[in-house]
Amino acid sequence: MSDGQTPASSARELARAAAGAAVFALPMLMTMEMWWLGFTMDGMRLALFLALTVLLLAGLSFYSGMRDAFDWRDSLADACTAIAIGAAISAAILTLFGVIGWATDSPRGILGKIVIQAVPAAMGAVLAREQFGQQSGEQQRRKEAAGYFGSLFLMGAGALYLSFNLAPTQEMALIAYKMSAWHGIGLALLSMAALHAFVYEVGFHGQESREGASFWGMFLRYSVAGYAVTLGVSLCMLWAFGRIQGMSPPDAVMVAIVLAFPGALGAAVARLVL
Amino acid sequence: MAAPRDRPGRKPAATPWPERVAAAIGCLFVLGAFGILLYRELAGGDVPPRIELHVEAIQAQPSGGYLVLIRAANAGDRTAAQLRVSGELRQDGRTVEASDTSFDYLPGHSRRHGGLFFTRNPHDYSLALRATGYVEP
Repeated sequence: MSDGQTPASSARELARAAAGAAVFALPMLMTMEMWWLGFTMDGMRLALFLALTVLLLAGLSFYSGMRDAFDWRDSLADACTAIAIGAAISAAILTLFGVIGWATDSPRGILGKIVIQAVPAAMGAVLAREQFGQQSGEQQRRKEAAGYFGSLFLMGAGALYLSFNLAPTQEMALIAYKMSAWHGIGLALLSMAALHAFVYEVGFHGQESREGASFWGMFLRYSVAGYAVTLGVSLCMLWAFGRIQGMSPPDAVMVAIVLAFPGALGAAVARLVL
Repeated sequence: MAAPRDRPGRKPAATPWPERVAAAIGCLFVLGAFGILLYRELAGGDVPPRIELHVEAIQAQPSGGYLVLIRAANAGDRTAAQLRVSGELRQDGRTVEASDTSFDYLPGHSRRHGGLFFTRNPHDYSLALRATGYVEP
């Protein structure tokens, strides 16, 4: 619980969140496929995407927190704050870049461009507190008590962030077409191994200890399950962005495996730093 | 949520107004976005691209030749990708000169600008603009 929350310190908190939003969103703001998604993406999928984003942000806010959130209402309010900051930063930067044609684009197209960018920006806003600010003992305690599904959730969020601006690019499908089934299986195994190694073996700061659990037990419980979550996140994103439209299921899975490679690294990093 | 931190009687610190304002704006943004997206989806229909082409200006080029500035507007709902536009200078029903260009994307209810180069003066002929094709994005 934070005491001494004055309007001034709160405004500073918002400014810090805005800085985080800019840092996290800039790679996406400078990717043209992301601009195009704003108007090519199906309206229903975009709305669904935004709704899921609010839930994701509420969950992230619960574990990291723009401020110490106590219950789901506070987490939801934090999510909305993050969306407001993310949308404002995205709109401002896209306008500066001249990407939003306020006179030549339709309102729906402008909204789409902002909404799609507000997602990573809002994640950055939530994480800014986590990485740039101080953590309270309460948050630390909550994260340690996050448990199994909390860990999977955080891994999914990391996967989403890292693969977000790769998913809409043509290269994902292009790489998948260049690969045989054996390449695909190899890449999936490598992704799982990398996920496991990042978290348990190579000794990054924040490395998790296995605490006597067997290698295979941890590998199956966290790394394989985490990879499955990553693969699911990848498929959802490819579907939402319309990138696997009209593809045969094997092709779609191959594209998801390609996208899940950076996603798995993102999941591992999230597991370490969040 | 029966954690000890939620024990009754312990009032959380009041949310400062800047955060409350930001949260309210975010909430409005999300709900407004839902409203616009669903409205467009349910009532807006799914009209394929309807391309309207206009000549905005004709300029003589310093190095010779002429530039026709054109504006392409899409009155439909769907986006036209790789939209190809051709212009022809005609005289007595015969095409004397043709030029073409393409737009990466022309989203629904939006405008984009471009240009066509000709060697002859378009003022001396009748200029016909035509959208020749596109692909779904």
